[in-house]
Amino acid sequence: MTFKTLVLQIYKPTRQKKELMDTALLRYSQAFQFLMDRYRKELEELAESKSAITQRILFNLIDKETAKKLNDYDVQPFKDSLKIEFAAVSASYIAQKRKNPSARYPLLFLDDTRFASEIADCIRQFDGVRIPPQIFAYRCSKLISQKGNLRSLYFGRYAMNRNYCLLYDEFKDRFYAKLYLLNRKESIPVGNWASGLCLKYVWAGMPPLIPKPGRRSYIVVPLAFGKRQYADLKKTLENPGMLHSARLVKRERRYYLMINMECGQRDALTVATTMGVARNMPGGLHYTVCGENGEIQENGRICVAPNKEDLFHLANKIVGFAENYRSQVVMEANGGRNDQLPLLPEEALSADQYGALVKLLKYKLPERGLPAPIEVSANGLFHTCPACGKRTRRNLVSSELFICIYCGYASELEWIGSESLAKRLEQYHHDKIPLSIRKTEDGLLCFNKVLGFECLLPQGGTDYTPVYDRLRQFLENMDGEFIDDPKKYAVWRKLFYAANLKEAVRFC
Amino acid sequence: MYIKIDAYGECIQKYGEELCGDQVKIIRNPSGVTAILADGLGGGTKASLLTSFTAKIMETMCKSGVPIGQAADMIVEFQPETGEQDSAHKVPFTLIQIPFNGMMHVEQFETPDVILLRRGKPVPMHVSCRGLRGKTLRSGVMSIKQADTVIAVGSGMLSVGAKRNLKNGWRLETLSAYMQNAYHPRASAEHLVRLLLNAGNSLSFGKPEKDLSAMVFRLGT
Repeated sequence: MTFKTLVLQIYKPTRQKKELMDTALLRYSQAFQFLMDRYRKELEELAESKSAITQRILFNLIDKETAKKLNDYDVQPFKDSLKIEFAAVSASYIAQKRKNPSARYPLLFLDDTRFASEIADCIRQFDGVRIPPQIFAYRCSKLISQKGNLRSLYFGRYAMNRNYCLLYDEFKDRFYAKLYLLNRKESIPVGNWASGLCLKYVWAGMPPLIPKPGRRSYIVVPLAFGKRQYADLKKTLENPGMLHSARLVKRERRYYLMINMECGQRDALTVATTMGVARNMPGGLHYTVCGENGEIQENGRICVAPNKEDLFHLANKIVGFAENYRSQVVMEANGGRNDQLPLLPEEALSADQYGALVKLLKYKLPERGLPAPIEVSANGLFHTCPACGKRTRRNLVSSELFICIYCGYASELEWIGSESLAKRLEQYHHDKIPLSIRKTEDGLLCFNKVLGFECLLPQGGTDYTPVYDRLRQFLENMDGEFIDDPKKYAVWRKLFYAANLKEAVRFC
Repeated sequence: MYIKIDAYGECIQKYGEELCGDQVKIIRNPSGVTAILADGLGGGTKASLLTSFTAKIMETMCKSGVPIGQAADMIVEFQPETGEQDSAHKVPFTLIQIPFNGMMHVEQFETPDVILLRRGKPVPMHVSCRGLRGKTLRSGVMSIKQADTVIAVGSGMLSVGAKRNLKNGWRLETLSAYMQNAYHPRASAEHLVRLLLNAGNSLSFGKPEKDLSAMVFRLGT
């Protein structure tokens, strides 16, 4: 299932609503930081323990006493959200810490007191010559920019009577948001705030919003949106199940509701071609569309100056081409690092930008009924022959020309990346599974490390038939063992469904 | 000194033509190996006939022991002078003779320079030019060594990159650079020729606009 974020601005909230939202954001940030401070020791121990971390373990860290203490911050409506966010941030910190032991503990909200202590700590480290001036300057500037920044408020679910939900006035054709921001103690009188409106919940059956007499712990705010957002909101009227969690964000004195929404998927298109999309030397991207037999149907450049907005533009163009040719898009894994793209100028797409583009395509392509892009290894992409798959630096004849020294395939260097990617799936399809052979005292040992297969042939034997028989038996007996190992599954699948096992393996 | 010589030559015709306008002939005799690359301008039947005829004359002369300089002079004498007739009647050629004693003799008329690689690195060849009835013949004599590679191509091989978007174009230097990259002590002459022709074919998107021809000598392999 793919999701997209619908960003809706809260339209001209009154001063009272602004105050309520500000207070909620501040309390949420403070409570979150309190939780993080409270469990610092436990999280660091978990990071060192190397044991598997589940959401349940992290939820169970928060004991009753701490949960009660959270009430001091008046965050009763957001307790579940805080737990979920705490688990997410903690899991991410533990994963980072295990990868990089010098990873810093997350600092989510920096109030005046903490700011002063953090700055003092920085100065102390600098005075003690424990950090160089550049790091000191970097840390200080980061602290200054973080000071007072409020964390976005997370609504963990879409519900009519808690968290948040959308409302629709069919006469005015406008959308509103109902946000539960207050606890019972601070609830406000109902009054006649909805007198001129005819609001219905965006929910199955569209029930009307009838304010109960007494007090209320939510606010209702009108939403501003553009044409596309309006179209998306209209879809939610037909299928409210598309709406999931949301965040309340404050940016430059404006308030936004960012809703996670399921992408309405079109009917899946049958893929007829493959389209390789690689970084280009002068900037932008190169794409190559290959047919079923590996013949090039189309190739071209998509040139734009790289910035965040252009990534959307690039993604939309790729989606357009892919839809036109009904292509399976193939992209470089790991942002295209190690693709050995020569002469990388400043205008060229960085690995991070390319990675961000892949992320965009992961939801944009399924939206149009196409499969998500496949990421393949980019190691030495610009040195690899698209025709025979051999990789060597000597394939580069000049800074602009590629000629394979094994098969003579020639092309402009800038096309090589996308051509290789477009033909990679076909290559994988034809690649044989290697069975290594090692001489041992008892005979010849044939093995495949990925599968965990081993077969011993007697000394001096030249007949490999027993290996095939044993392998066939091994494949039939290993149903389900590979469920968590995609590589093992891929090898198993290829061999299991091979028409002729002898032609699917090679000895090396 | 006695050198083992591996020689190979091949042509591929222009896209859409049935006959190849270029001709490559390799003649082996007890004294050494002589190779003829006749470059038919324009391609087609006329060029094919002319180059076949020229190659046959040279082959006969070389077999009968006529020095290749003399054979080259004779062929050039019958060529139309510049601007006299249409260029399709001209037959540029490259004649390479490598006796087993190790002295290479090259005769060329309006064909791209011969490339000599010594252990995979290019070595400049000393070429002298002589005029004959208003035409220029280039000839060179050079001693060769073990592991030398001699490469000769037809003019069609230099026009293959015309439709490619290359700033520096596809030139003899690029071709030489490619051969340096592809060089391997155990690479056969046939392998190198096939690589060159494949590269030429690939650079012209599989539809060469001229006949492509190449010939390679590998010494002492």
